[in-house]
Amino acid sequence: MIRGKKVIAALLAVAMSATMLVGCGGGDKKPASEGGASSEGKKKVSLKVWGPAEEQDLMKELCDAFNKQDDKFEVTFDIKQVSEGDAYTQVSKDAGAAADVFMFAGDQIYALAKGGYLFDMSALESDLGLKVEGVFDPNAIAGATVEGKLFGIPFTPNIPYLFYNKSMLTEEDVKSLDSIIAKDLGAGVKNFAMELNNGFYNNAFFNGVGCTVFGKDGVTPTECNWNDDNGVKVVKYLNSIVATGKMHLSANNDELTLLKDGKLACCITGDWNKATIQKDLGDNYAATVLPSFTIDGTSYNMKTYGSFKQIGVNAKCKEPEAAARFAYFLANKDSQKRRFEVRGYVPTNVELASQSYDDPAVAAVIQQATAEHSVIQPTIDQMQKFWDPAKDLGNKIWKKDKAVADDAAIKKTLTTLVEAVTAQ
Amino acid sequence: MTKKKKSTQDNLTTKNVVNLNRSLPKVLVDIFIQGDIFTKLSFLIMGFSNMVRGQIIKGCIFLATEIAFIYFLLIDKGGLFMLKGLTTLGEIEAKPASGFTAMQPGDDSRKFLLFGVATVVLCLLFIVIWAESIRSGYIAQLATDAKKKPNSFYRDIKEYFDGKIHRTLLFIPIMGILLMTIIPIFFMICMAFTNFDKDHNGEMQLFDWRGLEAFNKVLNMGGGDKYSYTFWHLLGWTLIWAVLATFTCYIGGIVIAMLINSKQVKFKAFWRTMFIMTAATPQFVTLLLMKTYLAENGLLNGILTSAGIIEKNIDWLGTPNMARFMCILVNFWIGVPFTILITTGILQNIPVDLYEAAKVDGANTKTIFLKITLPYMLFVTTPYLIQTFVGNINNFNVIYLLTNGEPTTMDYSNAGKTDLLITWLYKLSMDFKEYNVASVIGILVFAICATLSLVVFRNTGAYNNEEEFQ
Repeated sequence: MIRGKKVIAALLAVAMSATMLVGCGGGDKKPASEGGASSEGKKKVSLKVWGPAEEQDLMKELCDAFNKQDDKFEVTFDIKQVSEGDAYTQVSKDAGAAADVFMFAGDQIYALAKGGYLFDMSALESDLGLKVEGVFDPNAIAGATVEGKLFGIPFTPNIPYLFYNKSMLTEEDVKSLDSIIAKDLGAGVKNFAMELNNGFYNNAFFNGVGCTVFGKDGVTPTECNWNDDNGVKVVKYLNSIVATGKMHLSANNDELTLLKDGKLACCITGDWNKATIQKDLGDNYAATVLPSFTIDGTSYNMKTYGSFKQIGVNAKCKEPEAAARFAYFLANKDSQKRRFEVRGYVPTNVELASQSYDDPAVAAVIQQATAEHSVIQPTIDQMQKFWDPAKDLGNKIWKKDKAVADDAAIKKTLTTLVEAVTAQ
Repeated sequence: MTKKKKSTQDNLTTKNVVNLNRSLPKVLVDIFIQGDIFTKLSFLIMGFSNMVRGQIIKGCIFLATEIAFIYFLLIDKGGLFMLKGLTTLGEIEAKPASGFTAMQPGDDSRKFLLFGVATVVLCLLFIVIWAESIRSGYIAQLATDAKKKPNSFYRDIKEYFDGKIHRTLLFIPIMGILLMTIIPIFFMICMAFTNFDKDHNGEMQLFDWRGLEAFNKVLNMGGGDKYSYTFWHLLGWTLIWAVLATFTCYIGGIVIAMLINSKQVKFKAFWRTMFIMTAATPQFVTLLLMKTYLAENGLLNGILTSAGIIEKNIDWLGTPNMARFMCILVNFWIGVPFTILITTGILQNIPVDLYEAAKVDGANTKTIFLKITLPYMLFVTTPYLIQTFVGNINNFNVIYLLTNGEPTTMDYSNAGKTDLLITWLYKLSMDFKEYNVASVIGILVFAICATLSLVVFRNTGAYNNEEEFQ
């Protein structure tokens, strides 16, 4: 088999040359040169930033201002449009490709922090000399803290409050829900509207009497006491409100049309509808904190969930110091002042919040965000299980379902709710 | 008269030849036993047998493939690393940074899983090529044994554009399917056996193999979570929905088609157009419009109250049973045009003498329908029925857009009373990020659909007696 020998010889030659190539290939790696070597001036870095559509112009302005003001970094910004509500979805898809600094809605903070997506900024004051305590509203700071660590910089409250028509209700009337309902406004007009079948709103009654979801701090997933005596009283109270026929169940913002047509005196909604209501009501526009309500002679405040919109830094950020400085800059006193001028966003800066403003809504929000009128929204994972049962409860009350007809039935329904909410 | 030079690969009929048409493992074993020393060596050194018999280029290509594959396996972070990664799904945890320095990223379990699956597929591909090289080496051996010259490379290429053109044309689609369908499906199936969810998101926290833990969660009644309760109840509603949705559209379509077809009805074209018009609007648009139309403050209630028919607004989509009924009704509205189209065509095909014979025998309309029309219809449209039934099990649009699975209930875990398994799956992955449970549900839905399709199809007349009817 001479043929065979020739082939074997050829194969051996190929094998030898292959090993030589492989052997030579490994030694040539040189380390890549460091990008942006710091000269005597500022360090050049690039940051990706995400903000909602309405914020884009202001963001550009603030980016330029940051570069002028900061003495340590010269930043090339890449600004993209991602709304605060979408931040968690977008970041969790691929954190490596996500923005270094992004704005997100406060209720996502636990998910983002626990998922490891946010950079721990507890050392802002100690390492970078950027003060947080005493500069920002304490409730706001509490809303940005998860398990004792600061994960976001809160820049505006995101809570519902009461809008009302000045010509139909006086300032005294709107202090209490009972006086709102009691006022006779004629046939075909509803006194009060809220989204009763949404846990975001109906929890205000339960929080007011002291019922909590997940404990007082909102971090114990197995604790919920909505089915105690106070909770039963709240449901009975709500039943009585619904029975007057003077309440309207808000759905898809239809309460705004009613308000405009003069068929509604007041409604509970937030900043997101403020511009529309201001335009519709014109001179009759007024806003205040949520009213109190009376059960068995005791008056309670409606306490909503207070959440704050935050600015966060990506944990996988390559230049965390620059990003943290920029994030803090976006929420410092001047930036918050500018943002209020341009977008009407209520500031969380303590100095700015103590000033007086023309728009009654601003005072309403600032007051609503205090501890007498709000509780911190629990942000633990278990919160996801809260919304559907709360919605169901609101629906049952509104429809006068037999599941909330008498004390025993109410207790049973509330117990089912508690079980559903704390189910592991 | 020119004779075309025949390829030496045809007509090899010498004795003791391995039958190359049997199953692959048997063929390989036989080739090993019956091949000569060069063929045996080509099990280890691919292409050796080809090169010895004179097919140099072909042999070199096979050998180069083998060297490339071994190189791929052995390099740093190469094939073997990825296969090991498939078993461990990442080992280095991400550590949070101290102060304001950039963090050291940990392993990304998702990437480990994906590359592991891709490497497994690549290995399977290589085995196919390896088997093919042995086979072609053996054929070359047979050619030389028969004292003929094995195909030259040029002839082989020509064959791929002539006799074997089916292989050439299918190559790119098959590669596309492997890359875009098979690998992603395996990746998703593997997810069901891990604990990939919100707390183990892969990028910042590792997830790990967990065997049948997720399956247990979903299927096991009496578990602490409400997952299994939700699953079995949703399964029941999904099946009921599929049956009702399919059959209302089907029977409704037949009845309307027959009515239009019957002799007493005038303006046939007008009626046909009217009933089929609902198919002109995209399903998406119809459903979203219906949702606002049927809302408690919606148009339907407005019309009914102003006409005085009802006093108080009815919440059409508010209570579980009412909502379910409305889903079936709206689905009927959307689906009936298609069944009308199909059945009209079939109705016109039924031999008229069957009807006349029945009339002569004194049958009334009902008997004619039950004994002639319906069996004929069923026989012809059974595959269509199965397809629609399986499609309705997964009919995402109607439920999600019309009711979003609501009305919500405290009894289910993250699902509502009109949710199907598929909409629950969507909510679990998009809203709650519980990818492993969602993957389990996907696998179970597939198992159900596949079983149903096969069982029903095998047992129907269409499969058994293809030519005859009755």
